[in-house]
Amino acid sequence: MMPRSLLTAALTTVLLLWTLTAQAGTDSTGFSISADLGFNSISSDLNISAVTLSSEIIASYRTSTSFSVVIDLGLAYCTSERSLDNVESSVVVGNSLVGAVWDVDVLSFLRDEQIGLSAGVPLATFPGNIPENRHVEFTYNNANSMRGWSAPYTWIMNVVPVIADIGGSLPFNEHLSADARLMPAFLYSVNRNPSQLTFAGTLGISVHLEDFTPRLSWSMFTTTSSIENNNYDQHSLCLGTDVSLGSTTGTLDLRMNLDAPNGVSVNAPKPFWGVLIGMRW
Amino acid sequence: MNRMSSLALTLFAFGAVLSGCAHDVEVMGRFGGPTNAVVGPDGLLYVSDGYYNSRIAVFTTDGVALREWGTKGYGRGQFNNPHGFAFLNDSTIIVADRDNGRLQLFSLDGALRTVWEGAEVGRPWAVAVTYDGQVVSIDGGDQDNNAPRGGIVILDSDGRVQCRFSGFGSMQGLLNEGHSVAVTDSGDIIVVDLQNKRLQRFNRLGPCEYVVDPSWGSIAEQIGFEPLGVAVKGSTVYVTQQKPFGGIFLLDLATGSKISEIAAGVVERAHSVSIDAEETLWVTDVYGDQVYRFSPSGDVLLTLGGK
Repeated sequence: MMPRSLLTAALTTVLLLWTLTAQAGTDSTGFSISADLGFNSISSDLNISAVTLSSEIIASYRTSTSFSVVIDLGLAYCTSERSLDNVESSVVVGNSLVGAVWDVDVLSFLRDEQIGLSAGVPLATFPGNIPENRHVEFTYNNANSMRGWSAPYTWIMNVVPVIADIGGSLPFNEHLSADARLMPAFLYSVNRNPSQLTFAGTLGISVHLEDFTPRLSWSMFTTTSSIENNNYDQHSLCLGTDVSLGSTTGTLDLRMNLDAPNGVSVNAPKPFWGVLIGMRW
Repeated sequence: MNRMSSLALTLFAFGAVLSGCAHDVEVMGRFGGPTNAVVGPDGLLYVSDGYYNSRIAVFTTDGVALREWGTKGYGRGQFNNPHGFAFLNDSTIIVADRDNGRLQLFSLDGALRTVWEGAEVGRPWAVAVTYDGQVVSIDGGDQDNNAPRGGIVILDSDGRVQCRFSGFGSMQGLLNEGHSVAVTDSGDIIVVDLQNKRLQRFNRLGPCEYVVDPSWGSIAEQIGFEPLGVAVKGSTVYVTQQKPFGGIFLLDLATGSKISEIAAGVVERAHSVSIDAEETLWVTDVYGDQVYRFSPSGDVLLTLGGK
């Protein structure tokens, strides 16, 4: 499915990052880590059942009060069974994104303003031939769809992504804020498809309670180039909450794709959903 | 702004977005990147639809929608870019389910019969059936620079791979994204070699013995077009071109020489062409989401779908 050394390196990195979480603190400098685990299950009358898990770990090292270096790693697993078939399984690594984030204060009425720039190592590629290639493709697509294509660049295949990341929050009052994150990117193709500009964005509202922060957001992803002039834009909704757990924060999200090819419209039979549980240290 | 008005505004925005992204293409006559249209042995028009939709839709040749099957997905009977199809016999249709890397066989009313797939089959971009029931499938590859692949796969009517030949490349007899295929009455194979912008003809010497006809590799360049879809009827080869609103070239099967160009300026991107028993042409417009029926002289007789 993929080079064993690659899998070993990915797992080692994940274990290292988990180890570092023990040292994670809330100081103005030092490590902070967020990790999540997403789940999706397809079980239908359309001759397929599949379970997909995906995990993203974002490790950040703050070198000053306003600057951090960030690495984003992804790992996904999918097992599926179609009638008459043997079980197919794939373990895939996402593109490793490495970047920098600056905390800024450009607009006085916003808070938590951040500007980031990152690039990805193109690890999300085909392993070799059919039938492995198509199942790997299925796995990457599921991993992205369960996350609503909200921050899709970890899971897009055969590209070197170069990403700008702009985020901020508009507080209406002590308890209510609107949040936005914009992630335009250039995807340099490493296969025969054309390179392209893409745009991912999320708009949402958060309600800040004592220990909970419920959130509702809409995400969209669009590209400048299409395949045979067809629209593969993605839209999704996310209903989630942050939960304060002392020095850490837990997250729980339910994401639902709204658009083809994995959503409720066109002749896709069912919406594609994902449940994500995460922690931030 | 108070809390309630903020919430109302946000919900209004979500509603606007949802209504804007709702696609109405499940309506039978609305296509989403149709890839092929062929009149079947039952006299009905079958359309593989397509890059965006994922179904086979069936119409009368007058354009009346009758039935459809297939949804987007990885399961058996689902499609992920049904890129071409052919009729194995009077009761079976073979669909090249390109992005799922398989051939799926259905009855003409859409009941899944079986699936042919595997490393030897590869990723079928196009399929045709010879007069003696051999299935010609084009492995167009995965568009992967690290492991480029291409080839022609010959299967028997039970799906057993008989042979695989050609390969990836630009030399004579090799393919760089075989996009469309047609077979002649004698079993010769004509392939649109997409990225090499040429036609390639493989003359049949035996059930699994083919030799490339080198003269066909330069025909498109000589005439001055880049082929996209191909069909054969009798002694004529019909070729659509990649150029937007380009016409359909009619070539002499024996020599490859140009007979005529018809229907120029009508179809934005003519992904495929087929010819029915009445000698009319069916052309899919993958950009315009339409299926056209042309008279032999190139007059539009019928249009299905549209943006």
